[in-house]
Amino acid sequence: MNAPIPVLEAHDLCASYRRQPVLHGVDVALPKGALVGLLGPNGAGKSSFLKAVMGELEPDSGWVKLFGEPVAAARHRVAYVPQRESVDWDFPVTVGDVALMGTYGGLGWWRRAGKAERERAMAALDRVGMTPFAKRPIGELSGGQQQRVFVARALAQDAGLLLMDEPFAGVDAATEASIIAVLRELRDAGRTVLVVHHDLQTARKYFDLLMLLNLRLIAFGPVDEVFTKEHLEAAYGGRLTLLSEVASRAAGGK
Amino acid sequence: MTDWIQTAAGTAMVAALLLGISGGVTGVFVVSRRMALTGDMLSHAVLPGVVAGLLWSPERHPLVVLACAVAAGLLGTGLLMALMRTTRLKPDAALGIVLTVFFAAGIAMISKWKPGGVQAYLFGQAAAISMRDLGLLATTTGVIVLGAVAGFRVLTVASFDPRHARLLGIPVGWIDRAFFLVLATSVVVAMQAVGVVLVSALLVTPAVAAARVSQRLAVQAGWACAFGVAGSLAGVGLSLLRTGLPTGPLMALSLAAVFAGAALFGARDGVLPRWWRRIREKRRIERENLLKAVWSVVEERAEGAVGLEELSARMREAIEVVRPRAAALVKAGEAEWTSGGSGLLLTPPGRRRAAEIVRKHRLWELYLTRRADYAPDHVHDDAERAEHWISEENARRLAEVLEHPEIDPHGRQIPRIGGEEERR
Repeated sequence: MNAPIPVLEAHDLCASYRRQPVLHGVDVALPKGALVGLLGPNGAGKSSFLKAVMGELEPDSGWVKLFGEPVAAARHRVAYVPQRESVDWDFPVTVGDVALMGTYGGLGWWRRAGKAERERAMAALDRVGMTPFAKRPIGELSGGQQQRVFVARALAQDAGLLLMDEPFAGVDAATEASIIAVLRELRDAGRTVLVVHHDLQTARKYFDLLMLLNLRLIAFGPVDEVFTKEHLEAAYGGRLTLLSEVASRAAGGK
Repeated sequence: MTDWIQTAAGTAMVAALLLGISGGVTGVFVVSRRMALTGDMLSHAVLPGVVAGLLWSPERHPLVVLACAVAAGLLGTGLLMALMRTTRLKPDAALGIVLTVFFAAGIAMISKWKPGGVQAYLFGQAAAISMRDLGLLATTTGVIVLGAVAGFRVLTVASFDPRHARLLGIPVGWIDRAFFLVLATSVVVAMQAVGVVLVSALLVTPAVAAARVSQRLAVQAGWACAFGVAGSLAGVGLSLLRTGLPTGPLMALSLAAVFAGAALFGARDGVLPRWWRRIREKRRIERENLLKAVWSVVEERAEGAVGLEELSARMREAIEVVRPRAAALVKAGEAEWTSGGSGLLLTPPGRRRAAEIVRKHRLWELYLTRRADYAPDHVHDDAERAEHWISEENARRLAEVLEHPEIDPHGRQIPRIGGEEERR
């Protein structure tokens, strides 16, 4: 038996954003069915890493593979949940329309979405508890509902890898918990979810694996192994006293 | 028919129709992609191209003018991109610069060489549209409508979430370029009818009016076409009636009137729909109150039929007011006339509905006294209002919270709904 193919694999990945090198020799392999947190200070290259995974940022050297294939061949199996402020919530589409957009990949250029696509979109909305909102314009939703619509779109897309860029910015604790519950279900169904996250306290609770990034990959692995004082200091430079505090608590196994 | 098209009025009318359609379809995407300012920039940036085209082809061949104008538009856009890249200007500021530079160049060229027929492009004169222009307009409109219908799904997803579209393998860059070309073309073909400065009216006004009516792109596109056609036909019509006034301004003003109408009467938050909803709610409340009055008389006296006189006294309303409401109940199958129209007898559905309202009223009174510390003599008026707004689900929850009470704060029975119907 061969070793299972990683959902996402980066090898010696170097990339620049606006001619500024932001990723240096990143080696990482995400397994199937994992909830992974991507942590690091501002400007650490978290968003650039996601862009490289989506094929929007061409690596300077090294490579990214998705499901064992080059990015261009497999990126239709990657779903992206946008940051809330980057979405035009006044755009005239309904919740159902957005979920349906997940099915567009298989449709080619001119074909209209048929019954099968509609059913897939509705099933996806159902799984995130958004069926009653299907006919609502997206602008009328609360923060958590907005996130769930895009998760539903990812489900309708049948993506094996889900990328989320700070999904918890500006949502309340209860909403955050409900989104995490949905993501855990996805993980249990064999999908891999990579979440850019800011809060170190909650990161320990939420994720199975952590990727600690600061221009280079500081650490990657199970939460307890990554959450050490040395790693956090390397990532955040020890500038923030809060961090050493959290790290020491983490090291104490609390 | 063909003869009529060839008259000046006929050509202008057909042109207005086609422009309304192409402007409406393009405009919906322009507005939802937030490119309204870009459209305005384009309409100014193409002017030097139009002038060059007219100089090159004095017989005003529409294809030559179109090609030159679109080329100028693309040049303006290229300059815009370069400005934003090199100086980090915000898009609106960069648009302002490009727009004025190109427009100034166009005006200077006009003053220097005075090309024939440029007046129509500046201020818009539908009467100046030739049959050849009309042919070009019909072709572009056809292409735009076909392209929008066939590529609607792909264009929508590329406009709404380009990143997602790219992941799905949709060539977003090419779609953007194609859309831009279509936009530039529709700006140029519209220019002869409405003039440089007013092209935006054809693109933007019908689309924003449509956004007052619907919140779905496909539906908006249909409405934008209808509004565009109505506004531009009205403009041309007015221009023909009052000869001398150019079509451009009249079209822009008519389109604005259409927008005002949509804002007043549009389904989203127009004045008329809101008013209509309020009337319907008032009717519902009146009917519910009448049902309740009948129910309570029956409850007190334990007899089936209730006279209108008695109801009118109880509700403190004139009998002339009560009678049409009673007639509405009879029509809805919730009551029947007795003794030749002087009394009412509730039918089983009417009885059920009346019981529901009384139940909500009494549950609410009980809730206020028990949970919100209202005094029992303060709760009636509040419940009179609230009973009409408590949903079935609310009522179920109220009953649960109050542990399925049977008696209200005034010692009266709270009717039960469902399996056990109240006894008369």
